[in-house]
Amino acid sequence: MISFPISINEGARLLAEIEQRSGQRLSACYQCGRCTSTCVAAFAFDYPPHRLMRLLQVGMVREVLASKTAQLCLDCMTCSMRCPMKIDVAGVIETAKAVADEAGLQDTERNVRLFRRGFLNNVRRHGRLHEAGLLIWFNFKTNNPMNDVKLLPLVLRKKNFHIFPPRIKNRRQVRRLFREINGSGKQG
Amino acid sequence: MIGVFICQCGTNISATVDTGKVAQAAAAMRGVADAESIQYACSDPGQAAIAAAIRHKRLDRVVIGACSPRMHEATFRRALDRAGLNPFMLEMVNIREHCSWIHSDVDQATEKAAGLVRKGIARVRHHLPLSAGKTAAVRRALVVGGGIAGIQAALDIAAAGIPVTLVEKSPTIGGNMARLDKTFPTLDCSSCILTPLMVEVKQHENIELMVNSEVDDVHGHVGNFEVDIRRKATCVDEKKCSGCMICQEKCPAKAPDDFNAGMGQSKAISVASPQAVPLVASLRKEHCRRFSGGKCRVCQKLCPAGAVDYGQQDEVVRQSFGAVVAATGYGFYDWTGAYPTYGMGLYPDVITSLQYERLLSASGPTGGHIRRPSDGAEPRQVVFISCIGSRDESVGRPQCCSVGCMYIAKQAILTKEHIPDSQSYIFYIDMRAGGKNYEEFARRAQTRYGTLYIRGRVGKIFPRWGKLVVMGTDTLVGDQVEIEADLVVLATGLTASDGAGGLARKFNISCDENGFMAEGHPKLKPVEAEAAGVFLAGACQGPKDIPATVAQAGAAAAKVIGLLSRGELETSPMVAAVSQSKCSGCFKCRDVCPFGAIEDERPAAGRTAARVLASLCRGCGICSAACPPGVISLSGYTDKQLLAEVVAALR
Amino acid sequence: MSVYSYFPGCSLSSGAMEFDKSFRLVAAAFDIGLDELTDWNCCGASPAPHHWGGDLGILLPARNLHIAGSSHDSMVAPCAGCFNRLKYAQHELAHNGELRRRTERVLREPVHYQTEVLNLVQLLNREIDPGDLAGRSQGRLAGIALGTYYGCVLVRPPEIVRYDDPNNPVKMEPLLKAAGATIPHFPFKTECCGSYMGLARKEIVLQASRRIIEVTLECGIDALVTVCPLCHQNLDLRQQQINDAFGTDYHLPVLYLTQAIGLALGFSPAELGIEAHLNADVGHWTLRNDDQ
Repeated sequence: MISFPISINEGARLLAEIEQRSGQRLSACYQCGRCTSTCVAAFAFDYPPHRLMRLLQVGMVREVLASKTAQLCLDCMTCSMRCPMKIDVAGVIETAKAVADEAGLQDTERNVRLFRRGFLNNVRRHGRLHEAGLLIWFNFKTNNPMNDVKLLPLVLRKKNFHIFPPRIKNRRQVRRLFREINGSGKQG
Repeated sequence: MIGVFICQCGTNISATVDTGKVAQAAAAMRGVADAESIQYACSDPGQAAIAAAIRHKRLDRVVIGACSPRMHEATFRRALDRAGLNPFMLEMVNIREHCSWIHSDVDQATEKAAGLVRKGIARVRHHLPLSAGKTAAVRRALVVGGGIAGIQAALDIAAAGIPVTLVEKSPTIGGNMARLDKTFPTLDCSSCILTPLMVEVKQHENIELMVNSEVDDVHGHVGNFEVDIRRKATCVDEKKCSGCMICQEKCPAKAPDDFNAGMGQSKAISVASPQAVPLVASLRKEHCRRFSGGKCRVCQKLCPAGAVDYGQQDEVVRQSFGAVVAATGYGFYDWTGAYPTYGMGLYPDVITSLQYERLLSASGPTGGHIRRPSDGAEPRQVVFISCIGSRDESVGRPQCCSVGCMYIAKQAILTKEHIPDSQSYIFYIDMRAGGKNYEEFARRAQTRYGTLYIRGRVGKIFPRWGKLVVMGTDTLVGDQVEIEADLVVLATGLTASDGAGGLARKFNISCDENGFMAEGHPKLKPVEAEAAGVFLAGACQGPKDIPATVAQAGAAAAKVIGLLSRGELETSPMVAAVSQSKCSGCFKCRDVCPFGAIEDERPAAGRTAARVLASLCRGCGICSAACPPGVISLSGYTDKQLLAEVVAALR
Repeated sequence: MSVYSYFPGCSLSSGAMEFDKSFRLVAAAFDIGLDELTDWNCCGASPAPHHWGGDLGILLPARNLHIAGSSHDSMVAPCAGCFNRLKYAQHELAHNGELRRRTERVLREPVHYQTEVLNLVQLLNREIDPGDLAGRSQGRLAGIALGTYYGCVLVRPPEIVRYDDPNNPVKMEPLLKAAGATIPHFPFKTECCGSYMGLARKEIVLQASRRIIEVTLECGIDALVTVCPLCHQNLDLRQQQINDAFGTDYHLPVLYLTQAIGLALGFSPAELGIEAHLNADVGHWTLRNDDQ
């Protein structure tokens, strides 16, 4: 029996959940690594896609759920398109991330999660994205005020660029959309 | 007096079916004099027990509940024969494939088995003694395909004194093996070991060689196949051509070089290769200037033998054969459409392994010097990628090609021998080196020849400044790798050859989901096709290497020799018969018979009736079912027998 | 004149306003009617499907589908990202009753989701006759090698977007060829640019986009053509960041498809908003051909 620092039972349960929710046959992976071969973000991952698949196969689910990979995957689906066993690898990673979010197991790539949350809160407030507002908020939150600021003069050449938030009329309906997912939508 | 024997088949049947209970149930039936359960009915003691029961209990008919009749019906018929009973007084009931193997509940399976045996007993009561007829077999064999498989089969059959016709669709025999440079794991020169066999075929008094020929149409059956063979027009008289190649030298029309797998160029009229057998030119009309509206007649003018004949027509000859060997070989998977990220064939320096063989071969377009196609430079960094169109469900090809691992290892070794300061890289997934001395050979590619094996699949190839960037993964390191290569060789998988499917249909050979011809039984009938008298040799049956191909070809030849050396074949007595006095002469039977086995006859003046030609009848029963007045009966499957079975089943 | 419901999305109404500008010019030139959705909202872009369980990635575009579907049979979303989200929402609303009920609970009426959703390439291929385009082309793209960069979300996942070959898309090519450009083989047409990581994980974007630009130049391509504002941002706006990070000196123009077609039709770079790009240096294309 292989023993990893995770309860085998818990691993099996989470694994079954990932397999069921993603609809993918994890056991079909034979570790050819083609998914990793052209992954543009793999250099920033802790586990490249093929290793993530292997971790799942042997039940090391907690490692996967808490991984940078789950947070950083760009969902470009290149891996899914090229898998010789037709596994939707990106779908598996995405499912792992969703499971991790629900279980509160993500504990890495805080900035990436912060960005996603900021983006969506920005949309909730105005109904549309206010790019400048998101940039300022994000830089403030991450204590990195100069991030991308050099790009501002460039975008300001675009006459329509919204310095002030664009606002839609029926913001109330958009907020109801947000409330519809998991109550308030304030978590995460 | 019926005897019933229920086979336990070890635990194959007895684990799910209570054979004792089944025997007990059978014993209670009318006319059953003996019913027993036997551990292995087909074994020596099993057959002895059945024979003893026949003698001691004066049985006159026997029911055996065991495996499929396809497996052992012949065995038990012989057992009856030896015990002095007519062999056709046997009824086999399949309680293994149809019952024990597919069920798990013992009580229900036992009940079902008892029911099946009950049907068998009801049926066997109506069995009549039958006797097999004899028919003469044509003492000539047809071998289709002139690669190493067909060559070996033809030579072996011919050596036994049986005449052979070898039909090959291309202008030369030799097949794919003739295009290979060296062979694994011994590095024998492929031509050196093959060419003498090709010449022997040409010279053998018992072999008629027909190149540029294909099977058009097939009639008949085992012992007497009537086959139409089409000799395609090549505009060259084979008997006159001496193979001097002057036509090829002077022909102004360039054409793709098929023999060299597209590496290099040939002419519209050409001899396939300097080692071609027969050494005869042929003209490809689609590339010839004369046939595309021009006036060119250069080849005809210059031919010293006067062999060029632009008006030559296809010729169809009909021959009869007692047996057939299919040896249609294999093709290579066309990767260009399926792997867009490898450049779709747009990068000249991404080639297939067969093309690389031609670059390695002394008879190839570069005279055996490795020169890459784009600029003729000698490559230093060569990347091999395995499993192209193999083990890849995304392109619909899950199977292993079974030879790729070995031929890549060979090509890496040869690369180093040709260019000592080169470096070869092999992207592989799992190393499959199961043959004799194969593992040692592949190991040598690494240890002695410095080939770097990288475990992983390549994601993408793209050109950069005259090189090819190969983006892959080393799954053992766990990270991406990138190699700048001068040449990339794709190990394409093996497919059924073009036209194999059409030939299979003509001879009633079934094909598997990958297009390869299906053997009669995966273990026990590896060279017999389902159709009687048709045998399989080589890669047409599935990807295999040269030793396995030669072995299978020899086995197929032995089967043909065994079949045809008897001179006559036993025919099944289970054929249809017409009760002519009741026949209305409508000939519906003749319309539906797939074998042309029904003819008309005048039993009395002014009246025609149908007659079954027993030698052609295959016992399919379609005529019997179609006959409006119901006067055709199929021996062994009479209405009485079938109805008795149905009644017993419904009870 | 066929009239389409037009969903610009956040990018085309702000950071990628030149995409909107050039699209309207080209649409007018070919008599394509555009009727902008009233009071549309953000489609959720890349973050929505990857946060808070992902359902926002369906609910947000569903509202837009509903608005378009209430008045039009067909809608066009030029932004590849918006197109992808709308197609996803359409697919989910059709197959997931639970999500459909939740959407309707918010909208307080039955949701219209069956309106036809077109991406820009699809729309232009439908509405523009290549012969017509070739005839009206002013020869400005003659001799210009354009790289067709589709990105990932326009063609993936194939079972949802049902558009073009997900590994080797080709549908932009006939339009640009008709416009007079040459289209060299470009092996990176669907390679990911780094997506939305620009702020939070900049090095992913810079690395991924640098690779694309590098290969583009090696293929002898003069400019890339895209229909994705996020790709455009990463490849054009961040090109200086790439040069700073890797010590390169790239000046590769990246055009929206409608800008390239607009150039062929004779609109000036300024009219098409190309001057708002970091790499706006396409002026000499015009000159070169005016000289002839």
